[in-house]
Amino acid sequence: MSTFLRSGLALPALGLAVVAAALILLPIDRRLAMEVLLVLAMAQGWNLLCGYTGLLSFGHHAFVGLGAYVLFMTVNTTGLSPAWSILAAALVALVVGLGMWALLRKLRGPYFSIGIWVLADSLRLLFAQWEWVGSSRGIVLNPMSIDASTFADTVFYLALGLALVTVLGVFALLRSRTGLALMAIRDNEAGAASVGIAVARNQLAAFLISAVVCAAAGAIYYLSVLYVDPSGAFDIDWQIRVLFIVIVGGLGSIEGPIIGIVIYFGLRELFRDAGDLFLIFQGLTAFLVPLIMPGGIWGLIQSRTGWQLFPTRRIAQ
Amino acid sequence: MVAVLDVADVSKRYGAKLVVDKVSLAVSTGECLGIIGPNGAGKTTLFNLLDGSAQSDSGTVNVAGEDISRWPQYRRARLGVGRAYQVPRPFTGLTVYENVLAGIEHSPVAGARPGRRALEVLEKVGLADKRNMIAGRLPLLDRKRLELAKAVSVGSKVLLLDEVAGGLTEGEVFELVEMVIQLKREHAVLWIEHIAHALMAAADRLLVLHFGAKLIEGAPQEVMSAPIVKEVYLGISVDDAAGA
Repeated sequence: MSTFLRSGLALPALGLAVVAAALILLPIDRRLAMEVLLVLAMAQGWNLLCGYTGLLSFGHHAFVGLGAYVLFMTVNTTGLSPAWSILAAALVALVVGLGMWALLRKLRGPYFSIGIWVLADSLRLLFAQWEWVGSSRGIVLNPMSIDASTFADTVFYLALGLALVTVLGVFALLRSRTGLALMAIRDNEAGAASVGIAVARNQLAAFLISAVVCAAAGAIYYLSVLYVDPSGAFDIDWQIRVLFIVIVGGLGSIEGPIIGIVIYFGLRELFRDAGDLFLIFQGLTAFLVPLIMPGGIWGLIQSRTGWQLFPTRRIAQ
Repeated sequence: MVAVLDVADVSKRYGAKLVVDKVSLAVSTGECLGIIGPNGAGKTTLFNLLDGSAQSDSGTVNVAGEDISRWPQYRRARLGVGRAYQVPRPFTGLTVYENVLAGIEHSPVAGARPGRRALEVLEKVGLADKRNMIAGRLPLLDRKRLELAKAVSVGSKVLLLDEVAGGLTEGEVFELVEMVIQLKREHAVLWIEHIAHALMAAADRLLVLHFGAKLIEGAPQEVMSAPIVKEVYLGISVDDAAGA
């Protein structure tokens, strides 16, 4: 137990347990909580790619939509339960992600960002034309596949599970050798290759993890809505939201996206009945925070205090 | 002694310009080969061909008997080619210790205790006291030290040092030369440097590059006093000098 305490894992484990318990026990709006948890998972996945390996993706809504569609088609055509169909969504995202990587792997900087955006929008157009998946009308989930009495709780727990697995998984990854490689790539890509780090392979790994997480989150979100259509599921708004959250909170840390989530949903709930005021404040935040705090809010806190809620530092004895 | 680094006829062309022109060289463990030449002579490009950050058009690079001419940079690093860049490339957000640990953990000879090995490397370059400092906050000399430590961290057999003494004070240059002489014991060292006395203190041989090709190679004193080197370096024509 004492090694566990000294390992620096005790505090984050306790923190996550308390948050999870609060979410489960308190009379909160579970629908909102589910959305927050799913976007948190997406943001953590996207941040692993963009905050660490320097590949700025503007097209991760491709995986949100893909995950949603795979879940719907799996449930409706095979009769597999929605929960198990999330795995199918993850698997397809992995395969499609590999295919996209083959197309994108030579692109760097803005070319990568725009390239993946084009692929995401191409997927939206493809699904809007594809009769088997309902074309632009979209598809409704087979109502026989769910139990209406427990459905709301089921999707909430699925979202909670995904968020916990993602945060803890990213945390564990960052404390491993791969994590050290990712952080080295984040700080100096050319320098990383010169100390034996296979930059491209680590970028691919981060890309696939982010793809799978976004697909699973998209699958759970649209499962909760019971309906999916191309313009919603492949909406770039998913990507913009994640971009906002990670940039404002702080790129390249686990804490940053968590802070970004609080700010995004805080603003949204605050101005829920005020129409476009939310967008105005969101825009202002997106504009001012990077201007005043180039490393995001957590970046500033980190540089001032050296705090780590999720300690990934290796300490020399 | 068998050379740990054996380079034969490597060339590199960028468009119409031949930047490295059939350069051959061999360096053994315990030896330091100094490389000099005017700006634009292709010194750094030669290093790029050795560490794999650029691919040569022709010729072969052998390290420890292995032909690595077509290997990507990270594999060459793991086999034992370490590089200290002219402009240091620290992992600014990581600590000094983590900077070195990154290379050690990716080394095929990491061993059971990478942490201890990291401290040994830091000890060698005099950074052990600052091990938990953030690398981005290091002053210049310490960045240069860290650059050396990173080059060594992967378990290098060959060390490529690119103007590591640039920008340092006299006293700091002296410290650095001492470090290179220590590192030479376990490595084959290639050192590009403009600060002549630093190079003379550590190098066993000098090689002069001119327009990408090897102009002359030999004992440091001999090379420095060769008429052709004076001509290339100082722009004095041998005939004029003789006439005056």
